[in-house]
Amino acid sequence: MRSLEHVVAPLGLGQAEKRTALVARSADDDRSARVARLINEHYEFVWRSARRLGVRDADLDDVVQEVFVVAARRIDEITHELGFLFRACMHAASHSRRSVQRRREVVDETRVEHEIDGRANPEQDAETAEARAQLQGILEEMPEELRVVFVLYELEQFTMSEIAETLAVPAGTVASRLRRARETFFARADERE
Amino acid sequence: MKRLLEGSLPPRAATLLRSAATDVPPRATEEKARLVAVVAGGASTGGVRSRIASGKWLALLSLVVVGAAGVVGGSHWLSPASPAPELSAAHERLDDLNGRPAATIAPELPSAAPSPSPATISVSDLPSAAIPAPRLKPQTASAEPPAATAAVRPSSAAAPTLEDELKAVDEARAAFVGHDPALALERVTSYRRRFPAGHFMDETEALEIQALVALGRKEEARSRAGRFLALHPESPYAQRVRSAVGSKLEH
Repeated sequence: MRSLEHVVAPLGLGQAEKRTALVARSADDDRSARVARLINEHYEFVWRSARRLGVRDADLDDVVQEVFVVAARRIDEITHELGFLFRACMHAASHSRRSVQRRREVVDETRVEHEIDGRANPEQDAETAEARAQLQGILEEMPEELRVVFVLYELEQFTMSEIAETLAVPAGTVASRLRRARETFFARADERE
Repeated sequence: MKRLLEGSLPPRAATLLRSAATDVPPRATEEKARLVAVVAGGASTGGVRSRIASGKWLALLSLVVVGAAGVVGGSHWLSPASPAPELSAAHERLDDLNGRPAATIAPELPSAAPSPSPATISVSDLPSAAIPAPRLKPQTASAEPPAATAAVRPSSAAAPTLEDELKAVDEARAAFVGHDPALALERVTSYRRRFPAGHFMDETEALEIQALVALGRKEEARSRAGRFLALHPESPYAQRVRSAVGSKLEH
C-alpha cells in the first residue's frame, strides 16, 4: 500500500478521497492481475476456439485480442471463465466472418486447408497436418450450432452441463446437437477416407 | 455420455480427432506477453485496441503522441475517463452469459475507476484531434468505417454512437431473455426507428421473429422468417431464425 500512497499523495487529495482512490486503484490492480492470468492460462483455448469457429488465419490475432478486451471489460461479471471466453469467441468470430463477407473473400474448403497446411509446424509429420486440416474442414462444414457442441464436448472436454450453461440452452438440446454433430462428423470422415 | 475418443472408433475418425491435440498457436509466448501489455496493462491508457506490436504503427503512433503531448501537456495520461474502446463494443452482446441482462453490465474498463482529481482533464475537454487507435490490418478497419469512427472519438451527445445502438439491441434482447417478448418487440421497433441504417438489423430481425413465435404469432413469424432467410441466407442468425419457426423453412 505504500506505493499507492506514493501515487496518490502528490494529487493533494483529502483522507476520504485518498482512501477511495486507494481502494479503487487496488481493485484495478486485482482486475489487471486477473486479466493477465486469464490471458496466460487461456490464450491457447481462445486461439483454438476462434480457429474452430471459422476465423481465418489473417484475422486470428485480432479476434483473440477482441475476446480478451471483452473479458477485461467484463472481468467482474465472469463466473465460468472458459464458458465466457468461448461465448466471446462466438461473437467475435461471427463478426469476423461478416467482415470477410463484406470484403468479398470466399473461404472455401481448399483455402481453409491450404491455410492450415501453411501453419503446420515443421516438426509435425505430414499425416498429422493433413488430418488436422481435414478435421478443420469437417468443422467448417457443420452448422455452427452443431459445431460448437462438438468442439466443446469432444475437443475441449466440457461437460454437458457446462455446455448447456455456456450456450444457455437445455441439456437435452446439447445432447441432441451432439448426436447430430457426431453423425455429421462420421459421415464426413468416411468421405475423406 | 462417453466422449468419442474414450470408446471404439473407426481409425480415420480417431486420427482426425487426435490431430486436434496438435493444434497449437505458433507464437503463444510472444502473443501472451503482447496481450497482457495491451489488454491488462494498457487498459487505463485507452490503448486497449492498439496493436502496437507493428513497427509501422508504432512509428506513426509515436509521431502522433509527440504531437498530441504538446497540445494536452501530458495530462491525457492522467485522465480517469479515457474513452472505453467502443470499437469492441460491437462484439459484446454477452448479456445472458452469466444470466444477467446486458443493462446491468457496466461498460467501463476495469482500470477506468472514477477518481476525480483536480490534476486531471476530462476527455471531453480535450481537443478534437484525438489520437487514433490503429489497427494492425488497415483493410479490416476500412471494412468497418462506422465502428472505426466510434473508436477514435469520445461519445457525442448530438449523434447516437455505436455504443448507444448496441445498448438498444442489448435492451431488446434482455427483454426477450427476460421472458417479455412483447417488450422485446417494442424495443426492436424503437431500435429501427432510432437507427434506420443500424448495424444490427439482422440481429434485431431475428430477435423480432423469436419474439413473434414466443407471442404465438407464428404465421407472422414464418412470413418474416421466409423473407429474412431469402435476404440473408448466410446471416449468422439464419440458424436461429430457422430454429425459431421450425423446420418448414429449411433450405
